[in-house]
Amino acid sequence: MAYVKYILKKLLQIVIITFLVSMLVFFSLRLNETSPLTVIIGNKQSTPELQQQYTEQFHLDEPLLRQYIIWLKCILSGDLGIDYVQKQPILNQIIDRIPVTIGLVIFSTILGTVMAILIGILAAMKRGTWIDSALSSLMLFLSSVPTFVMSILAILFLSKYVPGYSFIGTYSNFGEFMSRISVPGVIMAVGLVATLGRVTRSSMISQLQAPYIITAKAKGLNRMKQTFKHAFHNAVIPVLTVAGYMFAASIGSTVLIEQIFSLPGIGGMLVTGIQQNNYPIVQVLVLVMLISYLVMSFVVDILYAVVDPRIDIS
Amino acid sequence: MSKRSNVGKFFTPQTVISGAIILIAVIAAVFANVLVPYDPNEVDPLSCFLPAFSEGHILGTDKLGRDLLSRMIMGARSSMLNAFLIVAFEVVIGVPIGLICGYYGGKLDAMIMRIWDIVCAIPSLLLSFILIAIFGRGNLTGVMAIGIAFIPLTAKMARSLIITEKKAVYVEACKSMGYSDMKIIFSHILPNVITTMIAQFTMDIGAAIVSMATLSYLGLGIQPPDADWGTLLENGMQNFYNNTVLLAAPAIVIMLVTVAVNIFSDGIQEYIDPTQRKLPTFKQYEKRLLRSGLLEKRQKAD
Repeated sequence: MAYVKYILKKLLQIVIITFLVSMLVFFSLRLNETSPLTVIIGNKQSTPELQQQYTEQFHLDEPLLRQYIIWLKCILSGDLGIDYVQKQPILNQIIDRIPVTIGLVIFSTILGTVMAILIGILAAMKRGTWIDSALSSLMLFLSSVPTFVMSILAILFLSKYVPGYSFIGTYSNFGEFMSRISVPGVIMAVGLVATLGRVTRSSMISQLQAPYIITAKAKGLNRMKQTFKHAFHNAVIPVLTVAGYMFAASIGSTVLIEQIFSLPGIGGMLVTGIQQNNYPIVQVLVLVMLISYLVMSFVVDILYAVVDPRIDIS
Repeated sequence: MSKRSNVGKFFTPQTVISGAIILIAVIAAVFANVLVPYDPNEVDPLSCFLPAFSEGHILGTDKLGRDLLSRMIMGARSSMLNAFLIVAFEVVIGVPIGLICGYYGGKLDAMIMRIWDIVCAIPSLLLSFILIAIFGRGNLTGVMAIGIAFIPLTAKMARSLIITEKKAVYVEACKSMGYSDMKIIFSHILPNVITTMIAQFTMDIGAAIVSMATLSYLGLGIQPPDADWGTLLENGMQNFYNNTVLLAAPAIVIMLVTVAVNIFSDGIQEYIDPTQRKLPTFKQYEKRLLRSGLLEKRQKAD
């Protein structure tokens, strides 16, 4: 029963946060000095008829509160509306662009987690040796190098030494898709490794000192079996939790990386939207990213309790 | 494990080297207008894309013939100044809120912490994007956006510190002497908790440099013709086929400074935090005593 109550409470919290943020974003965007009508008309000849037509189409003559309610109703019924600049349905634009973002997030999380676990276990097994200190300082270094500097150095390096490898811009088939997300994916994974590797290391070290490992040693179990079958099973839980939260957080960091690698994802769309004062796109994308972040962290919370039954969820 | 030669000291090789890098950046920022060899915004169409180490321009020139070294130094000024402003912003607003919430507790505290939870639920980069979308692009709005995104964590830290600190005996003594709450919070508790927070603030400077460079890189922060390291990086990115230094120089500088700030803050953390401070082993302690001649004196006294 505690589970159901907890889940309901969390879901309610997600709904409330989303609602509050939607309100905050909608109203505060209208504080911006640029009026929607200038954005909509853009560089077209501004005639009174055109102004009249757009004012009606985008409900600009209604009071703000009413505009918000209209917008919210549309969103709830699945219609994300039309953007100000291209006047295309936002839903289609998002569907066109979301594969890149999802691909990036999943690819980098899987790669980063696997790498981090391997590095962390290695460091923990070789604790106190030069391998451990080398790996630890490498991770400290990697965690301080900003992602975008790393991506730029990667671009510089690849364009100089592997000029045939195309990893920037749009894609037309699956092979190209993978080659586009490979480089940014690896860079995001490196950022993940820096944090997650340290978590794995400390978690493995505490497990390797646990009494049951001493028993295993006393029984004469070989070292690989001690490490991987026994210690790892217990050590992996906090690692997966942190990985889950970082997975959720990486939705935000794709914004930057997509912009750097000119990938057609929703992150780049958000930045362009902000630059052009394209309010409908900004509103919707902020909500999309926020909801995916909240839902992901919610799922991680639940999984945490499922994986480790000792944890009291509430 | 074997390296324990620099225990209990602040000036370890790491802190000295990283401190020197930070100092150079700060000096470049403070004396920018004296140090620049050329006007950083002066356009010279005759000398575009000069390579590094060419005559008169050590780092070469960019697309418009502007001297890169001068622009890097001026960029240091905007980048460092903005980073300090961001941290100052979060300290001036975040710390008092956290302290007051933690000291009084109760409904106000619960309410503000709930709001913080909501703000923390939004990834900080996304939050600054939202704020930029609201306030418009620009240097100051960028600083504000990042500062606001940093506030909740600072406030939470200050709050957790004061919650343990307010049970201390000296706080009770202050209360019994009839000091006002504000006096107790700001002139008695704050000096005791601020040292713990200093390491975090140092680290935040690194994060602030990166965040601001990110915004400028995306064209949402500082606006041309002014430049910080983020803008220079963006310019370099567009023109690196013509001149690689344009890209490499800001990238390397940002990397050096942020890594240095992180290592430096680690050093501060280790020095300040008594639980993390590496105390000398007994042998080293003995050696130190021997060196100072104290041990012999003590033995004589015995």
